[in-house]
Order: sequence, then structure tokens, then C-alpha cells
Amino acid sequence: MLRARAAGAALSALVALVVAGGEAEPGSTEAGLPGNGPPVLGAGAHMTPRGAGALREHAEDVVDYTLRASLDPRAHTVHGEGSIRFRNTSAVAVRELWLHLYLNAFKNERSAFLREPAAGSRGSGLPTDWGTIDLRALSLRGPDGAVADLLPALELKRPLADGAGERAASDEDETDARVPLPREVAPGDMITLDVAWDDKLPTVLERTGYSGSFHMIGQWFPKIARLEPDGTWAHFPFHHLAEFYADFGMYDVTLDVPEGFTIGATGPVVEARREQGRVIERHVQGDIHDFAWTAWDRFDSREATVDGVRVRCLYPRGFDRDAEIELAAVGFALPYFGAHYGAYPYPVLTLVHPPEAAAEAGGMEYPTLITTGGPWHGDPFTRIIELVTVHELGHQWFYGLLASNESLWPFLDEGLNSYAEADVLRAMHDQRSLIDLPGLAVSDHAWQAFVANAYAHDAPVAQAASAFPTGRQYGALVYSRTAAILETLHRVYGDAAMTASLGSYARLYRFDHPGPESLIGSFEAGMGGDAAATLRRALFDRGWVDYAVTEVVSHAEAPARGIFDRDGQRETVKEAGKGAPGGNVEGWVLVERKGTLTFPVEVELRLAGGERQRVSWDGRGSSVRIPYHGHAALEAAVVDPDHAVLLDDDLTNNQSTARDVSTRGATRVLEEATYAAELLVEGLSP
Amino acid sequence: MSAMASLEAADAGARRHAAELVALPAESVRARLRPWTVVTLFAWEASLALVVGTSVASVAGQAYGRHPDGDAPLFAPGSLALLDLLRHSVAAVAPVATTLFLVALLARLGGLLPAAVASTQMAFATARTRRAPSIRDVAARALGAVPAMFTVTMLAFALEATVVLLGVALAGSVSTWATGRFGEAEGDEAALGVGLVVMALAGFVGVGGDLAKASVVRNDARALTAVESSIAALSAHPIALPYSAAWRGAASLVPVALAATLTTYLTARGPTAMIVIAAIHQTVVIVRVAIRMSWMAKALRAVSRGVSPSATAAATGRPARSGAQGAPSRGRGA
Repeated sequence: MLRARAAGAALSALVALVVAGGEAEPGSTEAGLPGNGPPVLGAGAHMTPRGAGALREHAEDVVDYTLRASLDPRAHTVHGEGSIRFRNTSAVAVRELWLHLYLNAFKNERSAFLREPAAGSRGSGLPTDWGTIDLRALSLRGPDGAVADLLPALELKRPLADGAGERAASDEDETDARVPLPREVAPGDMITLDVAWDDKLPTVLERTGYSGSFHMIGQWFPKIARLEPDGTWAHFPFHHLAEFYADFGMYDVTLDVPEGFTIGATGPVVEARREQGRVIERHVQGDIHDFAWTAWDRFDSREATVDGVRVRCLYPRGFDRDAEIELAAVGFALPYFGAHYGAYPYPVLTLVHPPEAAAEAGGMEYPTLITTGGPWHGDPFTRIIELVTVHELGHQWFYGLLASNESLWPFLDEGLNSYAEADVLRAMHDQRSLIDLPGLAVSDHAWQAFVANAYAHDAPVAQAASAFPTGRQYGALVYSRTAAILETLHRVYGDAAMTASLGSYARLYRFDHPGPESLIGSFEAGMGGDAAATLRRALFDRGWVDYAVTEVVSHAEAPARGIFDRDGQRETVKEAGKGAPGGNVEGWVLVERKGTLTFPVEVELRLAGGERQRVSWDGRGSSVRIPYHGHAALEAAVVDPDHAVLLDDDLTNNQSTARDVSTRGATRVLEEATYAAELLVEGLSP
Repeated sequence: MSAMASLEAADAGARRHAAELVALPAESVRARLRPWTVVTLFAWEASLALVVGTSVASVAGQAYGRHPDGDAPLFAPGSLALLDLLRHSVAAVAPVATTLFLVALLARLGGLLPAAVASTQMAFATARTRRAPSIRDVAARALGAVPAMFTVTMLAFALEATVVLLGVALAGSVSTWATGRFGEAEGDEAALGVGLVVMALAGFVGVGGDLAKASVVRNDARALTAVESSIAALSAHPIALPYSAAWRGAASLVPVALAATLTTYLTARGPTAMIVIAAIHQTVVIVRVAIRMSWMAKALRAVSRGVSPSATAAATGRPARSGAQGAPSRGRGA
């Protein structure tokens, strides 16, 4: 999830982008739906991944959902029913299940979600219409055909064991339900649950809900928590800043909405029909761990094929410019992500651009479906629409395929993905990747560093989402600081090492649930022990660094003063020699490193006459004195002149000039600021 | 001593040195005939701006003054160093913002006196030499005009604010209606349409305010009389006068855009380039001042219909010469 141009010829060469206009016709093949084609049962079935054989083609199938859901857009309710097939893939037998009932986060002000302050984050207000999920039936099919009703034993409210503060908050929370089982489920055994439920959607509040007839329906069904290999359930209440975690499986979902509504949903349509004034679509997708959908009677749509993936953009009428921008961004980013982190394994991708009134539904990721956002007229001076699109698309890898515990380690999806997002935007727009104004170009990397360094000392990056006291700190550390850490490692150690680290991590743990140690291990393998140790300190220990040039000394090489015993004679040199005209110059530069992080850096020596020399420093000590001997006077020095270390806490001390060298001052700032002020004064004058 | 008493004292002092003034015929009230007035007004505004510029530059200079490239890193694409400096200069934000606020206030209200001086210099000539009066020659009349100009400015501001507030409310309602009926894009377009109309209305009020201020100077009128004169002028030329202000407003944007384009393509950042960029920017400002003075001259001509026979006498304390009375303007360009 995100807290908050069209491609040119080069882009055209990268992708085969076929854009088709026109409004969608629900339930018809003219709408760009695949009609009654065969279900796509597993990932990788439609295309050959790059580096065939290196990538896992399928996830371990743990939980399969076969659901039917019907939307009443006037009452904003969804009635659902179906079956859930669960296999115990852990090493131990289980006697209980845990169900996430996320929509109850919007049931009342006593939910963990609404009780937690999240200043600086969206979703900080209250819904004007509450949301609930009510289980109507929950039963276990026995091997002998007997059915055990599990609903009476369902525990909706109970204290949690992991902290008094959380216990208080969760006493009345109903998003994390325990279901005792009447019999043990042994490792490898499979059970089938029959379930029925009713959703009452809230007004749009952070990801899900309705606005008028627009419905974004996410976290809407009873969802089984992930069972870890050691038999523990990774369950948690729906925290305000947290996201999700689940096992992979097959989702076979039949959706039913009134005629006139357009559906966008996870996975390809395998069956579509109109029946008694209703539009019915069946979506089937394997190797995923969530399912979301949208329905609205005002969607326009466009389609494109990118790298063999059918991309469909649903957007409000009049938002054609945004659709163009978003499809172009996907056209560039999908192959880029695929090349760096392994090919996108699904046949479809749906972009949903919510109406502005439902902006909180935008900027969210689900398997094969992402939501975007932005004003209808596009944004000529910033890349926000592209940024949101690329960011959410990146989550198809860092969340979708690398299904980490987002609640426990949010940096593993949001942080890694923020790095990937900035990397794509740099490839698209270089230094103009965030703001592109005449006279002002701001890159996404620079912005991430700006935010990241402002919060560097506040808290560790690697901690649970619920541990962050504010949305601002969560955003700065989880998103920006993680991205700045990774980009620093990228710049310092180079492209190849980054590919061998993060690229390998993405490939190795594809369709898996990696944790922080998996990431650090990949960096150790790809970049070496120093980089891995630095990464660990930066993530877990509030690691920081500040390089500074503190002294630049230069003088003509001359006999040293003092008392010298030479050839049996004692000689006293009282005055410093002036050195021969045109003779050598000697001096030094003192560079210091403050903080706990270590990166190799370059130091640039600036000599009289414009010559420059570069010296490398491994950065391990707290300081280094770099000696200088040469013909030209040493005038100044700059540490990390290419700004490889985005984590550098203070760039204003990265340079120094020798005392006797005249400096240029801030003349351009004076000129530009005066001009701007003149325009202001002129505009205000009567 | 109250502010009004101070003004009166200054006014009395200035009168002792004032030359006899005569109102120029309306056709002769032209900005181009008073180039030194343009330069003086430019100097006033540049001085104010320099206070802000120096304040900002001192912050940058502390961090990058001894950088071997000077402040060039702050303008590097990507803005990494610029953002870093902003983060480390939080403490400087308040003093710089205060300086900016005070300068803005001085420009808006304190600027009434330079505007009065400039208007008087354009509208009058010395009786003896028939030449452009000096600042000392017009000081008394300009000082005397400031209270009425201030009143008119406040009235116009209040009216403009009312129009804008009502317009915002109306635009919101129209947007909501159009969004529900047609869609968000259409809702925003409808709101934009209302906004343009509101801006035009506010601009119309602003034109009225300028005319009233011109009348204060030209006719030595009190605030309400000046407003009446303004309304009369606008009633006589309801299209021509707003159009005249509008095209000048649009024209004043052209040099800004041209300079932005030129300096964007001027990639070299050495001392010579700096001088060229500064020259371009100062040219832009002086052109804009000239355009604004052109509008002031136009406003002075437009209210010259109502110049009372005692206008010259009021300026100098002596009877005006009958032949010096300005003729009604037909609204030609400056």
C-alpha cells in the first residue's frame, strides 16, 4: 500500500503495448473478458519465466477458497458463502483455526484499528457508515460425511497474550477469531469448512468500502490465518498501520452484481454471463493469498497487453489521461520488475482507479489487482500517478510473490518495494522522477533520503507495524528509510551486487514467506559480510552515518623546523621555508565518519587549476587522514562526491576548503531568492 | 505620536519643499514619459526583495559558502543536497518566514506611498518647468493621498474577499451537483468555470480599486469620492477598462515565462552565466514594473474626467491654471 509520462520510443521498444479504448460491457467477451476459456489453475502456466528452471512455478497449495458473493449496491452489503479447504502443512497437529474477520475493524470505535492513533496516515477518521462481517454459518465436514457446527464455539473477543496494551485494545476487537476444532488435524491432513457470511461495507476508509455506487471490496471474507511451519498461527488483530499475511492457495470466486455494474477482480474471468438482471463473473486464480474486487456503474476501461500479461485499467469517466499514464507506467515497469525479480507469473493484471471521493481506496495492492489514484487531469509537474502505479505494481513481487508477514515485518514488503519503485522511476525519468518543474527537479531517491534521515534516530526500521506510534514515523522508517538503505547499498556496491542480493532474494523466496534473516542472508551471499552486517545494523539498530571533511591543509613542501641531528651535527631550523617556486605542495585531508554504519566512500581532492583526484576509503575507522603530495595546491576536498551514501545524515559537512582559498559563497541562491522575492513584491504592490 | 499625526507632520514638512504642480492633460499621463519613475519604483521593490534574498542566502551560505563549487550542489538535478539543507535549516525557517511576511506587508501597505509618488509623478508636472516633478516635489501630495488610498485598498480587499468566499461556496455547490450528475471530471470543470467567473469578478473589483486609488491622486479625492469616481469610470467603460487591466496582467506573465525558458536552457553556471541570468531576471522585473505603471497611468487617465478645477490648487496650495486641467480620457494605451 502506498501512504499517499507517458513512455517514449524507448518504452515502445520494451513492451508491446496495445491500448484499446471503450467502456466495458459486463459479461460479454466484447468487454475484453476471456469468455469461457479454461481456468488458469496455476502460476507459470502461460509463460516461460526468464531463467527457466531457476524460478519456482507454483506456491505450496495450503488453502483453497471456493466462494460465491452477491453485492447489493444500495444497501452496500455482500452476502457470501462457499467452502474453504485447508491443509495442515506444518510439522505438528493443530486443534484450532484462526480466522481474520478484517471488516470488523470498522464495526465500532472499540476495534483495535479505530482505537489506535495513526497520525500522519490515511484512515485516521471514522467511517460515516460502519462496516461489519457477520459469520452466518461455519461447519466442518467430517470424513464420514458428518458436519460439525463450529459457529457456537467461535471466539470473537478475547485477550491476546502478547502485551498488556494490546490486550486492552483487543478485548473488544472482533477481527481475529479463534475456532476450536472438534478433532485434531494431523500434518498433511486436509479439512473442508463450509461458510456463509454477510458483509456490511463501511464508507471507504483505508482500502475498502463504498462511496456512492462505487464499491471497493477488500478483506471481505473470513480468511484463515497463516499456519507457520512450526505449527503456530500467525494471527493478529487488524492494526491501523498493519497489513496482512496469509498462505497461498487457489481462489475460485463467483461474483454477482446488478446489471450495469462493471466488475474488476483478482484473477482472470473464466466464466461470465447475465442472468435475471445480474452480471455474474467467475474468477479463478491459483498461487495467490488474497482476493479483492470492485464494482461500479461508472467505470470506463482500457486494456493493454504487456509482456504477455493482459492489463485492464478501470477508471472513472473523464479520467482517460490517468488511464494513459497508468498503462504506460505498467508498460515500462512490468518488464522491468520481471527482469530484476523474476517474471510476473499471472495472466492478468487489473488496475482500479477509484473516484476521487473514494481516494482512500486507492494506492493498495492485491494479487493481480492494484488500486491507483490521482486527479482526472493527470499531474504534469509531478510523477505521483506513475509513482503510485509503479509502487502498487511492485507489490506483486514484494507482497504477492514474496508473501512476508506484513504485520510483523512491514519493511519487507513496503520498504523493499519502495526501493524497487524508486529504481523504476529513476530508470524512467532519472533525476526528475518525482517533481519535474522548470528549474526544480526532485528525484524519488532524494525525497526518500530526505524523509528517511529525518527519522533515522527515532526507532528501528525492523519492527511490527503496530509498534510504530505514528503513521508519519511508520511511513518514514518502513518505506523511505528501508528504500534509502537499499539504494545506498546499491550505489556503494554496484548493480551486479544488488542483482546478486535483492534479485536473488526475490527469486529464491518466490512463492514463499521470507523473513528478515532471509533478506540479510541474501545480501551476505550477494554483497558480502560487511554489507550484510551494515544492513542488519541499519534495519534493527537505528544505524546511521555521517561523513564529514573536517580539515584541508596545503602548503609548499619545505624543510621542517626544529632541531635535527644530521651527519653528527646538530642543526636548528628556525623558519619555515617558502619552498621553491613551482615546487611540490604537501598537505592532507581529514575525513571523519560518525555513526554506526560503515560504507566504503570516495574522497575527491580539488587542486588549484581545476584538477581533481579521487581516493577511496573503506570507511571502517572513525577517521582517516589522507596525505597529499603534488605540484598543485590542495584547495578543497569532498567526501562521497557522487552521493552514493543516501543515508549520510548531513551533507552540509561533506566538503571543506583550505583556509587561504577564496570561496564562492551562495551567490546563486542570493540571485534566485531575490528574483523570486521581487516577483512576490511586485505582485503584492498596490 | 499616532500614525496619522506622523503622516500629517511629514506632510507639512514636505509641503515646505514642494514645487508647484499642475495636472497634465490626460493624454500626457503616460508611464513611458516617466522612465525614472519606473526605475525608482523598481529600485524600491528590488530593495525589499534583496532583504528576503539576503536572508535566504545567509542560510545557504552557512552550509555551502565554503564548498568548492559554491552553492551549485543545491541546484543539482534531483535536489538531494537542497532537501538535505532544508532538513538542517529548520531553525532558520521561522526567521526567514518572518522576514518574508514583513516584506510582504511592507510591499502591500507600505507600497502605497511609492505608488502614490509614482502616480503623482505621472499625473502632474512642475508648474514652472513643465517637467517631471521630483520625489521631493510630489512628496506632500503623495503623503496626503496615502490615508485615502489605504481606505480604498481595504475596501477593495474586503469586497474581493467577499466575492471569492461566495465564489468558493458557489463553486463547491456546482461541483457537487455536476459530480453527482455527470462525474468528477465534469464536476471539477464546472467548479473551474465558476472559479473563472469569480476571478473575473474579483478582478473587476480590483480594477475598481485601482481606479479609486488613481482618483485619490489625480483628483485629490477623499476615499468615498474616489470610489464614486471609480464607479463612474467603470460605468462609462465597463469592458475597455477591465480589458485594459487584463491584457496588461497577461502581458506581465510573458517575460517571466520567457526568462524561465531562457534560464532553463542556460546550463553553464560560471560567473558569466550568473551575471547573464541576473540581468535577465532584473529585466523581467523592470518590464513588469513598467507594465504595472502603464496600467496606473491608464487608471489616472480614466478618472481624469472627474478632475476638479481645484486639483492643482489642492496639490500646491495655489490656484490651478485653467489650461492645465486634464481632459477626459478615451482609454487609449499608455
